[in-house]
Amino acid sequence: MVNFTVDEIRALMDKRRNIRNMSVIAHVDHGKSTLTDSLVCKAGIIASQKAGEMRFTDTRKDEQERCITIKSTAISLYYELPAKDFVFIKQEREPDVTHFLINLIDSPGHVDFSSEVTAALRVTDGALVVVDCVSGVCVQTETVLRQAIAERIKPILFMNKMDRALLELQLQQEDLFQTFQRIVENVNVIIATYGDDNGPMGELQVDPTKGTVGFGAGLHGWAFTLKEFAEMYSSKFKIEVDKLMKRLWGDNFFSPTEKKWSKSGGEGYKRGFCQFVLDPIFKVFRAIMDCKKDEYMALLEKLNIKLQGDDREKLEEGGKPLMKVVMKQWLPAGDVLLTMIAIHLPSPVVAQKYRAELLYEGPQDDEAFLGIKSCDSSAPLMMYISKMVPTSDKGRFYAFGRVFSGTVATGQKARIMGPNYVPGKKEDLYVKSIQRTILMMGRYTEPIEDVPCGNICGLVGVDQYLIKTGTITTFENAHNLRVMKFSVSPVVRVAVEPKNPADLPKLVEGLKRLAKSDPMVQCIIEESGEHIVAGAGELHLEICLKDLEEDHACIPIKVSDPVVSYRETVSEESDIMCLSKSPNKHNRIFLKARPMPDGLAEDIDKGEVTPRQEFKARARYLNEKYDYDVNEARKIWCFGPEGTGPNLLMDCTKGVQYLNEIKDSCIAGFQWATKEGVLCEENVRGVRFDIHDVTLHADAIHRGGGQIIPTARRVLYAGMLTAKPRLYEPVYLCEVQCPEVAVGGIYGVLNRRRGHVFDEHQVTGTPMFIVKAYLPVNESFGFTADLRSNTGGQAFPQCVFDHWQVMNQDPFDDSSKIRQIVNDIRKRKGLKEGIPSLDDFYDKL
Amino acid sequence: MDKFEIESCVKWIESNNFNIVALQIPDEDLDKVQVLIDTLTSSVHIENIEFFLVGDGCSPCCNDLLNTQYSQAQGLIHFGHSCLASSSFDDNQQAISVFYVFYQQSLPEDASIFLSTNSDSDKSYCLVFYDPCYRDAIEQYSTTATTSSRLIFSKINLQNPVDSSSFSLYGRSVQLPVPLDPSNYSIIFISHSKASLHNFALYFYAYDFRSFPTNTISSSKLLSKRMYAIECARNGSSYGLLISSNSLLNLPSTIHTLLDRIKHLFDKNNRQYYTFLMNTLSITKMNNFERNIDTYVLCSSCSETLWLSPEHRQFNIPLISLADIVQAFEQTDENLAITYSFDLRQILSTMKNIDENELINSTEDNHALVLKNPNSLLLQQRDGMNRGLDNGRMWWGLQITDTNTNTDEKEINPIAELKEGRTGIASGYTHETS
Repeated sequence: MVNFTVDEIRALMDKRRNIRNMSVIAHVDHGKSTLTDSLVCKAGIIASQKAGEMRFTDTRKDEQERCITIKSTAISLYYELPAKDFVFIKQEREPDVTHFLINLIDSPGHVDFSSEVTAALRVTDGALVVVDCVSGVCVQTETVLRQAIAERIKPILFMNKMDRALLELQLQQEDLFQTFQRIVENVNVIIATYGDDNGPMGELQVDPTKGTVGFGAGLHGWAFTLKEFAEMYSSKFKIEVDKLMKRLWGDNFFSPTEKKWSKSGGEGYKRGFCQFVLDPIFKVFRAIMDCKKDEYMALLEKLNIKLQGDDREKLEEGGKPLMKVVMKQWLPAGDVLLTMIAIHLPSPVVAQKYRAELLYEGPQDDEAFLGIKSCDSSAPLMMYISKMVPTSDKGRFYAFGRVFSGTVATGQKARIMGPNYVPGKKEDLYVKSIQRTILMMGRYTEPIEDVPCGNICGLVGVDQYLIKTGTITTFENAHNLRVMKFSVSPVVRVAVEPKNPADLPKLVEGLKRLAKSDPMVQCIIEESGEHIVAGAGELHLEICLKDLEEDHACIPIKVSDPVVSYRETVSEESDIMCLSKSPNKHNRIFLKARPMPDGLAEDIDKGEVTPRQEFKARARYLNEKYDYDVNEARKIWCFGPEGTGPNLLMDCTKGVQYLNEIKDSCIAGFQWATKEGVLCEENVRGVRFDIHDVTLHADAIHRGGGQIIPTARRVLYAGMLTAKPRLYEPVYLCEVQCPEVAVGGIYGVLNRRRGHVFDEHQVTGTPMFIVKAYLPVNESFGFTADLRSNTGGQAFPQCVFDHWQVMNQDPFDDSSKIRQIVNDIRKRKGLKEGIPSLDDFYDKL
Repeated sequence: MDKFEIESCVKWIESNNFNIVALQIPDEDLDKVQVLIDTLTSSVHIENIEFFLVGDGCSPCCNDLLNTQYSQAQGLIHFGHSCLASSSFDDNQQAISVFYVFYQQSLPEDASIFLSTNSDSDKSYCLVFYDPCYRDAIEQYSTTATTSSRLIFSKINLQNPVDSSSFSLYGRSVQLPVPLDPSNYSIIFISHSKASLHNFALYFYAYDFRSFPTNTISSSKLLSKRMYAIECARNGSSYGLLISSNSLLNLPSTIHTLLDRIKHLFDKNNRQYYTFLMNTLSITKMNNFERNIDTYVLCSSCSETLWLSPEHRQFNIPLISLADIVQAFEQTDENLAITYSFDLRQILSTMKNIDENELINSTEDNHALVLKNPNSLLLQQRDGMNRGLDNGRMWWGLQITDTNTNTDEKEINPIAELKEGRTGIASGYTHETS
């Protein structure tokens, strides 16, 4: 580790071209945190007085106990790149500066915490994608990689756990090469699917011959890229390093006897990778593991490895401990990875050039945008707060984020803008001084005077004004930095209440803190008085509730059974024209509801169809893809709920007077009715409401909001009731990894839980099977435990919300399951029993 | 006819020498009104006595002083259950005196069993509250039966000024031997109407609370609902203070002081507010201001009218009580227990006095921005974004348009200083101008 004073670190921050902001991302259990540890040991920056304390990225007790990362943690690394490697850096660099400041964020791999990954990616420019070479590319690998590319984060690849491939699976050299090649291909397929090599980021594909793929074992602390081996051999072959790297991968074969390279192989020819890279490693492994002292002593001599101090004792025994020491010294993971990071990942100066247009919502020529694009520390401040980190002071948080432009300083007066801020308006905007800027190093913080752009830091005192994320700027006309889009959504909900009712105010405070401390969790008070905590999955929820009880509220709480949120929809067009009259009977609205065509609701979710679109373009899209009438599609009054949801209110009237005057009131009624549907006050999804005719009182005073809003709501409810209402239930995509013997058990468990398997295949080169299935969220509680007990603990499931599925049963049939669900929801919400009857909403002419 | 307590009514009228008296009678007894009036007229020895029947357009438990005033009656006799929430006895707020007839009943069976056995509580004292219709039964009980000294009976306190050593809530007062605390007291409530029961359950949520007839009321659930309301209160940016003429007549000075305090509170926290004075609170009227009002605040201590009725779901603007506002803006320490009550006098007594200097200081800092609480737990925030205030709005309701150049004139004449207008009913107003 390296010790620095704050002033020295501050000096490093100014060398923008020698900064690398990167995150480590991977599937769960692929060894991110272990790998990170080896980097921290090598190069972690810690304040002098904290030297000697260890275990940096595990900041929480439960993280250590469960051996799973829950929160992403940032640490800074200091690395001096050897002079010989400077030629490999293709991007601009600071002249005459050999050291690099690397800000690394270790992220959790479990899908339930993938919101932490999203938050980490936003503040970084590069990503080290770690793949376990035994299990290969998994679901979460794909998810995080996709997110990274969408954020314009440049990926490099690291194949981890090579020791397992060698020792447990006993793979042969050629097999191992094939495994590696397949993983590289798989990763490149994902990159090609979501990214574009001709895009602004330049080439994205990872390629061992370019040095963007590393191999090794994080646990044993060794790693290499082809560059390391090419350097060893280049003098011998008299071939330049970068040319030799190409020979060491793919179909390049070498014959030791003829001393010739060939593209096709043949008798006596051996693949370059196997011959020159794997063979020495295999030799060392075999010699040491088989405890052949003479052999390995000779090898050590040849590789010029001299063991120091205590390690010398291990020489005698051989076996695993010695192998660890030898490999670590021969191919030190820290140096190799840090070199890889410094060479291949972009500096903020490079990255912000192409990221600016994605980051900034405002016009692409204002001061803020130009400041971000050029990463100019004298431009106006633009900083994005990506998450809140709890402080030791209970209930207060550090706002953690990245300075994209300008310099953030202690005491500086800045505009703090929440996600709902609209330029020119005053909502969600605060003008406050920043109490303190701090450096965040693992769990330690150090006050610092100011932080220039391109760096990651924490702010004190901003937490009161932001919920979870936001933009901090000094530029009067600045727009927001774009909000993050999460790949998971909080679908699992529980209601909590304090054991002692007198603790309710504490619970409410605790919920607010919980909501802040996690990017994904939702804490809601419902009108019925229920306090809801919603998380991405069972594990996420479990951690959140534990935090709530122990850290945030500090009171004993009672937790209800998990509750699933449903969506209400309709399955056919209304069979009659619905009519509702206003309370004064002077106004009438005629309306029909009908389901949206398949895919439109998803298009709205994804933002392909949005309320902000130009209406003619939107109408054309709807017409071409969904066969909507162009004239009607141009008259979409609004989306809902929340103004953006997947329901449409359309004006299909012809020549109605004063219609525009009641538009606002109809929209208010529509927002309300789609937020609380008719069946059980769940959100409505995928319904199109057509207003066919309206009769209005000629006098404006008799068609005010008070008359129209309740009427619009009633007629929308009537429309839904007459259009065969249905419920959507949320469905997980569930991926289970297991050995072949356990596959039968998985089918059994899935069948019991209404799951349906749609894909099953073996991971080539391993005995593992992957089973993919759709599983209703409602049936997923206790699924992991059930699966483990039915497969002897061999199956490892991973569930992530995938889609909404309609439950095709009639809610008016008393015996149906869907009716039972509706009744349960109504009871929980304290609503009147039974679905409201049509007569409540439908008026006779 | 016994329940009408005609003798005492007659006595009351005669002793006050009224010749116009208003009668407020619950709907279910309207068929007996003719008999009642006949009996009263014949028993009262005052010439030309007139009776008016009032109570239309106001919940039966509140005193319909509005109509009483219109009929120019000197006194009101209120029959049936009263929530006592707006009855005034501690000062002479009302111009019209009120006489209550509570329809005395015998105690519910399980309550009398409990009182005589008085078994299951380990607390040293037990406070007994009851709805006024049980007053006689309780009085009889507490004087004749040999009661345990644990039981402390509350008194329905209508006329006497309140003694400072006693505790009083919703018109019931009780003498306390030791300070009120959940570890010393358990609470019994003998209820006739749900609303009073709710109010008491809410106030004593931290106590060992039992009610008769046995009722599964969960005070923690009630409190949870109030937490939602408090969250709404914290989160709004413009508020509508709703006052019905009737409650204003019932407690004029309390409501005026409270409103002043609340307005200061809003100013201090930089929130916008409008005051609505309505004769009858009606959903359609309130809905007309949907675009301008985030949250309606009901300034009436009788909660029965609106938020317990299912009708209020016809309405998508949160409706909260004054107590919610006080909790939201004055309670800063989460460790302090909430004392929650709808009783306006109680709220007034717990509110802090606002220091004018503090007000001036704090506004300077914050003045430029209209703010919301960013740490809200409400899923859907009612703010301008959701309501689409910005685009294509046809009608601006309460918004004062800036195009009007005569704004100076408005500032000189704030609404509070406007002259008294006409009063009375449509057949002939006083102060009528041409």
